[in-house]
Amino acid sequence: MKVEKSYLIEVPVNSAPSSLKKYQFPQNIGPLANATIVGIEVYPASDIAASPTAKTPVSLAGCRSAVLTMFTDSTERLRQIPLINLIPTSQGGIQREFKPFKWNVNQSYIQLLSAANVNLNESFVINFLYE
Amino acid sequence: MNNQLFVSPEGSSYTFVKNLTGDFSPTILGDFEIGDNLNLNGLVVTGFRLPTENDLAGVPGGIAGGVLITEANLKRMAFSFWSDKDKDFSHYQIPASAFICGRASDAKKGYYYEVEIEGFNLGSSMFHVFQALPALPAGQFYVLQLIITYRKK
Repeated sequence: MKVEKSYLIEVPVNSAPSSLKKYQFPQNIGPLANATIVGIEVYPASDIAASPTAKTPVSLAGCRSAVLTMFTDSTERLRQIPLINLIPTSQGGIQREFKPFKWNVNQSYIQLLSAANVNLNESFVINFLYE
Repeated sequence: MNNQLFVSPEGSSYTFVKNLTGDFSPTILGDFEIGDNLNLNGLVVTGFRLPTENDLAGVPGGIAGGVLITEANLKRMAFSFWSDKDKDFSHYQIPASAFICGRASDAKKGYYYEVEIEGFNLGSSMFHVFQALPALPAGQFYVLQLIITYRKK
């Protein structure tokens, strides 16, 4: 995949992890706010030692506890994709590529299936590939 | 495909070596402008690779005192690449681990990160240190090697 643009963000685990807890994307996401998404890469602690704000990234095991849901307007576009499927180093180097879509950051979220291996004040580190 | 080791899918490659000393030392946290001129006007950058100790037994050019940044250390860093065409960072804070060529333990050895950047400006591009690297003994300094592949428009 030839990536024209990308932007790294983090989704903080800012409240105590529990089963089915949702974590929203931050509001300050630069050019991603109006971007057309073409791909997503997730970086666990085994691929990046610290987040841009010096938080501990969620571990690879923790990413197995989480799924991603993304909306276009009020319509679910991607429903509960396992984060592990978005980690290139866990997928033989493959970057997960999508047919371009506009996303609604306010409705999109990461959800925990369980609290296993996810800790308060860690961050999910995600690189969005966009147009 | 992202698994071509030391093979540019198209065009040529340029190896950029930087001594990370003084104000560029990654033993402190921060954002560092690369600041070196590399004229790639009229060209399109197509990919990046970062060799580590898994690829090279020494430092490119045999720089005295140079210590090639390791795979573990690269995982503490990220890169932002500036495009004069976009007048902005076309890629903001890509984790450096995305560009690691050979890995110590990974089925995905030979990583190749493909991009498409017009108006690439290395001088205004940056590297970021999210977690400080260990200090080195006196007289030693980190060396970063970035392989940039490119083609004509």
